[in-house]
Amino acid sequence: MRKNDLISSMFFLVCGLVIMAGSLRMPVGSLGEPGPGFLPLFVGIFLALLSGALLIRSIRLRRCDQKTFGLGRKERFKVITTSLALLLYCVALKPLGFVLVTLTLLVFLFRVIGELSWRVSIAGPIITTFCFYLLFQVWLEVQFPLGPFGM
Amino acid sequence: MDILHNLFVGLSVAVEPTRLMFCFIGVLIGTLVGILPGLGPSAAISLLLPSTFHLDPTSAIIMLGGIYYGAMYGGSTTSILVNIPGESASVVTCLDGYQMARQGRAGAALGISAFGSFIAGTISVVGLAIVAPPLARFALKFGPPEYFALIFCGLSILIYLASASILKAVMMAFVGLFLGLIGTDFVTGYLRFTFGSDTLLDGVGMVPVVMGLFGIAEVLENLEKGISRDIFDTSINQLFPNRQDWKQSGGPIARGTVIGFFLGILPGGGALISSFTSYAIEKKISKHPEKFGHGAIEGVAGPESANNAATGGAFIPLLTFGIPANVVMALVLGALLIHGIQPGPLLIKDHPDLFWGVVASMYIGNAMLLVLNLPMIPLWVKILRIPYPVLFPLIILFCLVGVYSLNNNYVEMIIMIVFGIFGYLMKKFGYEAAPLVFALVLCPILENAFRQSLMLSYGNLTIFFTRPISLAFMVAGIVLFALPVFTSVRKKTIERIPQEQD
Repeated sequence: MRKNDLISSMFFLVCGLVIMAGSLRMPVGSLGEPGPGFLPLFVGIFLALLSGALLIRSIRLRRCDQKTFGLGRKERFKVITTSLALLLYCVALKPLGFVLVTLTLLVFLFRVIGELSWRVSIAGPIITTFCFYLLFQVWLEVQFPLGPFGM
Repeated sequence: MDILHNLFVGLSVAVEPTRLMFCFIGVLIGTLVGILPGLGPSAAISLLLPSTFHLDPTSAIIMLGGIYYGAMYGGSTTSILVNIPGESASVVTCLDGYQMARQGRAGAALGISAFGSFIAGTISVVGLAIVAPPLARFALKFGPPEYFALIFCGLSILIYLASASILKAVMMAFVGLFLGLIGTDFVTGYLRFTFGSDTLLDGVGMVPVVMGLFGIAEVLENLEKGISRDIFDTSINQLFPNRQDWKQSGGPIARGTVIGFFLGILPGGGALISSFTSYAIEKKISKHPEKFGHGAIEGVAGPESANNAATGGAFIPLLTFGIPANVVMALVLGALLIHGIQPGPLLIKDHPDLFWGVVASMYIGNAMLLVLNLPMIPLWVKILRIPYPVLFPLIILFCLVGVYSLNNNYVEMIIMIVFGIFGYLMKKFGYEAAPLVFALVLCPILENAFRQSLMLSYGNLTIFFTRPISLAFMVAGIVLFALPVFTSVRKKTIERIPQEQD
């Protein structure tokens, strides 16, 4: 656990310091009349202090195992590519339209991540996209972006 | 008589056909997500939150409440048949429920958990109807310092119960507070940490954060672990427990109900803790403690009653103080706020049809669940066989489309995914999401109360310790923080509680 705590505490320590710096640029006010920066400053200080404590504790606990969380290569691939695919989906949604982007994402998730057969990976996304389109666009009247094909 | 009259009013609200339908949809979806591992009530409610915006507030809360207590019913089914808890509050049911199934008594286990849940759920709703109105009148005495102290106390209970590390739980609470501070300062109109983004003017938004932390993060984690489901092949017959079963289960159900109801009221307590407490107590007072873990029906009846009773209790702090007791209630709070209803002491007075309608619908919902669960168990078992590779793309798509439909905003989708990745990493690094969400939701109330208290006292911090109610909450909160330092009690309880997985 030591290395995990080391990494995460340093991350939150930096966060705490950034929050402190950011709130000092706002009017902090006084105890009697706290301004918009008052509570953020307080939060930043405490987050930095607590992360500091965790950092010190993880440095002192030398005996524990050194390895970070173990992920097989295949699992790591799945988690990272899925995250990237989702971010890509958000970016591509507006220029390419809901139907096309959703179909592509689903085929990718079914086939590459879920390792299903091609037959399922093509039929599944078509049915799912159609149902979602009906449910959200037609029934709940959500305005999805239209792509170059008007869908 | 007042309560009876009010309940009658509530019943007339709840039996309107559309309300009945939403109650039914709620308990049905609840049972479904309770059964499906990898999708808990928090994720399901955040998924469905956007779709409730089109409903009237009473129907919306009736449906969300139905999902919550429905999930408690459904969760037991997977625990008993597959040895995988459908949601975290059913973890303990695996111990004896699965053993009973292996001994060919799956029907009795499922039956007693359904009946126990029904009895406990119904009694806890009665408790809610009796306790909430006087408590709300008491809450009217609360000023800003009392609210600050109450939230402080609630946060410390949540942190105290954190299964991993207190230090990390406190850090998460502060991260949540920070996220809650992003956006326009409501007193001065000052923009805080918005980085020039229009979306962040209104704050980070609870729905994208919760969907990310509980929906996307869960999927990513399951992709890595893989969900294996070996369904125990057993013929399920004899769902009605026999006389001997009833004799053994009567006491556990009664005790579980009481334990669950009161632990459910505590902020941060909730269903998980109640079911574990009930199991521990039943084992302790049993004449045959050695049977526990080998298919003792008491070990199913008690905890299953307790986690359902906790759902009724959990509504109390939300509907009287406006303070949610757990993450699910925080989402319900969000739903109320979106509908322009401020939960708090005045809710029962200002919106009696909402309060009593929801209470009455919970009676009806509990009855529906009993009907839904017992005859439909074979169907639920079939649903359990849906492979995860088919399920997770649907969960992901629901999250994406759900968040987009909030405001037709791409930035919120990206916020959700970022919090999904953040939540996944948090789990890997041993941090819990619950304190973060709790602090995020309560931050506006907390900041308001804190600043008003300080203005009242001209900057004197002792205001939190000079007023009796506030003093009591502050002392309770501080004791909870100090306790683990001096005793090893916490550590021992934690060792009994396996990693919460919701």
